[in-house]
Amino acid sequence: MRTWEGKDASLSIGARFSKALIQAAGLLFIGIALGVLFRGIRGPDIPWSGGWSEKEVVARHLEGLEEISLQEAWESHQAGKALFLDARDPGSFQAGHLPGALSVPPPDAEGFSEEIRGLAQAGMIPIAYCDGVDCPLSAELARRLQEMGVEGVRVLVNGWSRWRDSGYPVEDGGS
Amino acid sequence: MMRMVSSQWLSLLFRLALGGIFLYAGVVKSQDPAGFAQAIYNYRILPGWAINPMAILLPWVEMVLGAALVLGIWIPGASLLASGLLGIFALALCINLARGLDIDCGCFSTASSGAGSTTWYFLRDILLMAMAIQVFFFDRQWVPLVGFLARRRN
Repeated sequence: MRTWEGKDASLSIGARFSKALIQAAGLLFIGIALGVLFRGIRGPDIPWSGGWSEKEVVARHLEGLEEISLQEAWESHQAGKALFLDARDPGSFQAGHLPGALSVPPPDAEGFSEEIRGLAQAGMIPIAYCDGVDCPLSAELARRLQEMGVEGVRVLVNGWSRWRDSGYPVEDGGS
Repeated sequence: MMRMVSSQWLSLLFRLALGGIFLYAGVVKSQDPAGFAQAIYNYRILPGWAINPMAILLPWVEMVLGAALVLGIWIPGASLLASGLLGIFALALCINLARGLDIDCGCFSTASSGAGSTTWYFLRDILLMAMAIQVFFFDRQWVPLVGFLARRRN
């Protein structure tokens, strides 16, 4: 099997590999140098660091949206006014969700917007939730609904875990 | 079969295809560092401080790598670096496949849809890595800039 013709053919496998490694390091260095240089010329799009702490990520998700506390969500539920919107995937919804929740992954928002708008106008509080502190789905759903003219949508951050861990009732199955 | 695998024509094809893919991926990502940073964050593997430097610099490494593969410069190094990068991507996908994280949104999910796309990304990645490895072992610098210039010098 003849590979690496020319002067490389005489090199042992180890020597070839070392040569390739040096070249790879060179390419890596050139790429990094160009990246730094280009950033210097064009100006920074994003800073070198920062912006990814949990707090910053959540704040970015919630920009222009209204959050609801767990306590307030629970009180709304007890008053029969909470309209929970589960933004997670249907499989997670099936496995368990907040009482009376509708399964509305963000891409499906349009199909539900009429129904949710009607319920909101009747005094219900649409509360979007997903799972995980920095899960973007609930904010994405709330934003989409807002754009479709649904008013008063709130976001319950890390809703599923916090609700369940607080011992509040949950449901499973359904759709 | 072995002759086909070690074919220099196949190497040339793989090298140009890989080079084109890396160039394209690098150019697209360099246009939107913020979006790429979010995509890296969604993998939930790198610590916060490493996300932005990775989003700023990786596209340039990919562009340089892609250009080297297309032009035939430092092919052993370029194909080795390509295999290495693709290997790291495959590992990252594998980790998220194992822990059920949907990398499209960065959320843990029990749905098959997220896992489905991660599996597809993983398979695509492995295929590209196999191509890079083939180039590493069997490319004979056909249509290379460096080889061409060297031949002219001789």
